[in-house]
Amino acid sequence: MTRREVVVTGVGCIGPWGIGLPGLAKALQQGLPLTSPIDRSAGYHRRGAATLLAACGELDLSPWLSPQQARRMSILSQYAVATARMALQDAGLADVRSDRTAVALATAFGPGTFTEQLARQILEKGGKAASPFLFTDCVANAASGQIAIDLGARGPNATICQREAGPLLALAHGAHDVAAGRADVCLAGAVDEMSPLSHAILDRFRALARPGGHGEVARPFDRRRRGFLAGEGATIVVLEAEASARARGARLLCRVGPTVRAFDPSAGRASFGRDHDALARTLLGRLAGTLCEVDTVVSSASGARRGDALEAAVLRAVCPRHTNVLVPKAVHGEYGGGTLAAALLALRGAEFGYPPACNEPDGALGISPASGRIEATRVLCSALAAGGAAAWSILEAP
Amino acid sequence: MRPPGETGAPNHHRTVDPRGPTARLAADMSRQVTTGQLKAMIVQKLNLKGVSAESLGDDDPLFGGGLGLDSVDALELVLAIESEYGIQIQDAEVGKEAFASARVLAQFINARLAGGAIDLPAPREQSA
Amino acid sequence: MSPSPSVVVTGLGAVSSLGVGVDRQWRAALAGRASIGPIGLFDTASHRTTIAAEVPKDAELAPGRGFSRAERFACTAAAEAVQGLPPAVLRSPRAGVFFGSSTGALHEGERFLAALLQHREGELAPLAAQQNDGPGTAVARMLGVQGPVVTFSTACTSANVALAAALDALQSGEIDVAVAGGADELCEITYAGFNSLRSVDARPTLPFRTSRAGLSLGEGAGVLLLETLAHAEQRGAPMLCELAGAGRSCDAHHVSAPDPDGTGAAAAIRMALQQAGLPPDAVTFVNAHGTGTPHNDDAESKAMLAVFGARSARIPVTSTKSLVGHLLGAAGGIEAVFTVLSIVHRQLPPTAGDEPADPALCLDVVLQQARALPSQNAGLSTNLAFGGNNAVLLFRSLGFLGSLGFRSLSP
Repeated sequence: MTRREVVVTGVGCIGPWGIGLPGLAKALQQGLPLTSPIDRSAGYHRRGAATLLAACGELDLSPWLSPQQARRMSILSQYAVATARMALQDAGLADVRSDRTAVALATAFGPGTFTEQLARQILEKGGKAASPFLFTDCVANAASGQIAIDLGARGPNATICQREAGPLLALAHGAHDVAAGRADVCLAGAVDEMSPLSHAILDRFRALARPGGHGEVARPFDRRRRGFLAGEGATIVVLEAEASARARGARLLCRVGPTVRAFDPSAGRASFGRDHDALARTLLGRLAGTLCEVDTVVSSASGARRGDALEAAVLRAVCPRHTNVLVPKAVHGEYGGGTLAAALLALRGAEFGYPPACNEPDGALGISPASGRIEATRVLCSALAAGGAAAWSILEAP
Repeated sequence: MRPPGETGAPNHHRTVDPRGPTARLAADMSRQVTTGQLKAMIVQKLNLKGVSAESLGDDDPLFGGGLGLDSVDALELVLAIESEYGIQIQDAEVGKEAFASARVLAQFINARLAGGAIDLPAPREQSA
Repeated sequence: MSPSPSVVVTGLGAVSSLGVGVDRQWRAALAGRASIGPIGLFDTASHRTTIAAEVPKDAELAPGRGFSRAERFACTAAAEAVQGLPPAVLRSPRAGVFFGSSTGALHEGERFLAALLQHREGELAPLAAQQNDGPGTAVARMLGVQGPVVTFSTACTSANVALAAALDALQSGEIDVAVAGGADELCEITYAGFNSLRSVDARPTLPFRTSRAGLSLGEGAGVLLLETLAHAEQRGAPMLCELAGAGRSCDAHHVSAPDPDGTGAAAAIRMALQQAGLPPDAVTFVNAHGTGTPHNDDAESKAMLAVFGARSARIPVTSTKSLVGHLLGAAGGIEAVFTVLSIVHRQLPPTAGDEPADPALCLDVVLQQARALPSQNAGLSTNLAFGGNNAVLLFRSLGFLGSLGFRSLSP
C-alpha cells in the first residue's frame, strides 16, 4: 500500500480564549491562565476542592451553527460541529459531502452535562423519566456523528477516548485513513466539555491544582506544581493528502509526520507512571533520525506532579539540548485539544510569553519552558495520559 | 436540568434543575388540555427555535411538515405528555394519527383523560 | 507492491451472561441457549422493562477490588485470550491493546452520583477509570504492554472499530501482536436510555422475526489475540483463523436511527471484502448486528441484498445477540469470538427463539439448531451504531484462499 503524505489545510479552535487562533495566540503571548470559577451550586465539590477551570464561557457559535440545528445537541456536539465548520472554512472547502470524508475525534469525558442530566432524571424520577433527547446525544461518539450528519461525511468515523493522549491519537488515526487512501478529507481533533461533576471527580483524585499552598495555579515543570488546570474546548484540523491539497491550491498549515504510540504500564489507574526509560526507548526506536531535527516541543506538561516529571525525563532523553519546550497548558489547561492549536501557532510563528506560574522550574527535571518568538520548522507534540497511554506527533512546516 | 427553551449556547454556569423530582401525576379525569397549552409544551419540550406557541398553527402538521421533527422528537413529546398528564401512550400510537396536529393531539389527550375514544382523522403521509 | 501481511487470531477470551470462558459460552451458543432474564444489578421497578443479559453474579472474574465491572470483564477475557503466550511477548513496544467501550464505569458512576445526591460519599475507587478507556487501559497495564494502547468509543461499533485499528497496526508493521476487543457493563443510563427510544423488547429479543420489537441489553467482554502470520509461525502459535479485512463507514443520516436503505452498512461490507481481496460470493456466513429492532433488522437485510443480490437469501445469518444480548461497546468483541469459533468448528449457532424468520427480510436465518458450515469459510461480523457508524470485519479460515482457488483481488 503506498502511503500518501498528509497535510493540514485548515484549523478551527474554540476554548477559554474564545473562538479562533488569534485569541489563543494573544493568550499564549500573555502566558496567563484563562481561568474562571467552576459552578459549585450542585454541591458536588468537597471543601478545599479546586475552584477554577479554563472554561469556554459564553461563545457565539451562531455563524457556524444555527439555533435550530443546535436545538437537540449537547454542548459537546455544538462545540464539535461549529469547530469542524470553522476548520473547513479555514481550509477553503465548501462542500465535503462524500464517502471519502472521514472524521476522527477524541474526547476524554464525552458529553458530561447530558449524561449527568440523564442520570439525574433516572435517579430522581425513575427509569421511565429518561429523555430520548438526552440519551441520543450522550454517547461519546455523538459529536463525531453530528459532524458527519452536518457535513455529509460518510467515510470512516472514529471517536477515541484515551484521556490526555486522545487528541494526538485521533490526529494519527485520521492521518492514517488519509495516508492509506480510505479518505481524501478528514476532520480530526478533539473536543471536551468540563462539567462540574467531571471537575469534582478529577479533584477527588487530587489531579487538579487546589487553593492554598502555592495557590490554585497550574505550574508546568515548576517545583511548586501540585496539579493541573481542567479545561474544555475543541480543536479540529482538516487533513488532506498533500498532492490533492496542492492541486486545488490549498494553503498548507503543516505536514503531518509520524505519530509514535506507546504505553507505560507502571502507571496507576488515575495517575502517571515512572518508566521514562521504556517510553524514551520506544520513541527513539521509532523516530531517532527525525528527533534530532525537532526544534520545538509542544509539551504535555500540565502541572501534574508526576506527569511533568515523566514528561521531562522523556524529553531530556530524546530531544536535542537546544529544543524550545513550550507549555501551553499553563494558559489553556488540559482537554479540548488546545496543544494541537498551539503547535500550529508555533509553526506559523508566534510569540509565547513565559508563564509567570512556571518561573521556578524544578531543578530536578532539568527543563525550563521556552519563551519569545517561536518559528518552528519541526514540532514534536507530546501527550502523556493518566493511566499510561502516550503519544508523540511530528508536525512540520510545509 | 438545563431549563428547556434556553438556547444551547455554552455556559459554564451549568446548573442542574434545582426543582427536584416532578411527581408523576395520576390521570386527573377532570383535567383537560387546550390546544394552546399543548402548543406551548411542544415548543418548550422540543426546544424549538424560531417557532412560538402563537406562530404554530393548531392544524399545522407536526410531523412530515416544516417543523423538521423526527421520531426522537415524537418520543420526547410523548414523555412530556405522559408525565404531565399521567396518561399512557402505546408504542404503536407514537407519532401516528393522534399526532397529526396540535389540535388532534389535544383531542386525543383529552379523550384519554376522560376515559373515552375519539374518531381520528384519516391517517396522513408522515415521515418518522 | 507487496501485499499487506496476513493477520491471524491466536487466542480468544470472553465474559457474558452465558458465563466466563469461551468453551462454556460456545457450548451454550451452539445449543441456542439464551441467557436473558431479570436484572439483579439494579431495581427495574421504575423502568419500562425488566430483563437483560447480565453476567452471572457468581461469575469468577479477575480480582480487582475497587475496579469497575467493565474493567474486570475486560481483564478476565484478556487473560483468557493470552493464555499460552509468553508474557515477555506482551511486555514490549511491539505489543498493543485496542479496545472498545461505550460505558466505561458508568454503573459505578451512577452509584457515586446517587450517593452525592443524598449528600453522601460513594465508592470513589472505581471512578479512577471512569472514562471509556478504563477497561482497555486496565488490560494494557495488566499485560505490561508498551506499544499502542487506544480505546474507541463509537457506541455499538466500538469493538469492531478497535479490531479494525488493531488490524491496521499489525499490517503496517507497528506491532507484532495485539490484544483487541471490548468490554461494557449494564447500567441504568443505557437501560433507561434505550427504553426511552422504545427500542427494548420486554421479551428476550427476537432478531429477524416478524414480531421483533426491540433489543435485549447485555454486558461482558470479548477479546481476541491477534498476531502477524510471521510472528505466529515463528513462535509456533496455535492459529485459529485469519482476520482478513475491515470496513468502516458512516450513514451521516440520523443520530440514532440507521439509514433505512442500509447504504452505509453495505459500503462497510464492501470495504471489508475489498481489503480481504474477496468477492461477495466468497462469504459463507454472517454474524449479523441483528439487534431485533425493526429499524436495524430492516436496514441490515437491505444492506445484505445490496451487496449479495439474490444470494443474500441463501447465506446463513445468525444474531448471537439473541443469546447474550447487545453488549454495546463490547458487541463486536464477543461477536468476533463467536465468528472465529464458527470458522474453527464449522458451525453457526442458531438465533434463539421459537418463531420463524420474517419472510419479508428474505434472509436465511439459522434457527432451532446450529447450522453446519463448509470446511472453509469467510464470515462477516457486522455492527451498526448510533451516529450512523458502521463497522464490519471479515474473518476467514486459514486455508481459505488456497482451498477454493480464490485468487486475491488485492495487489
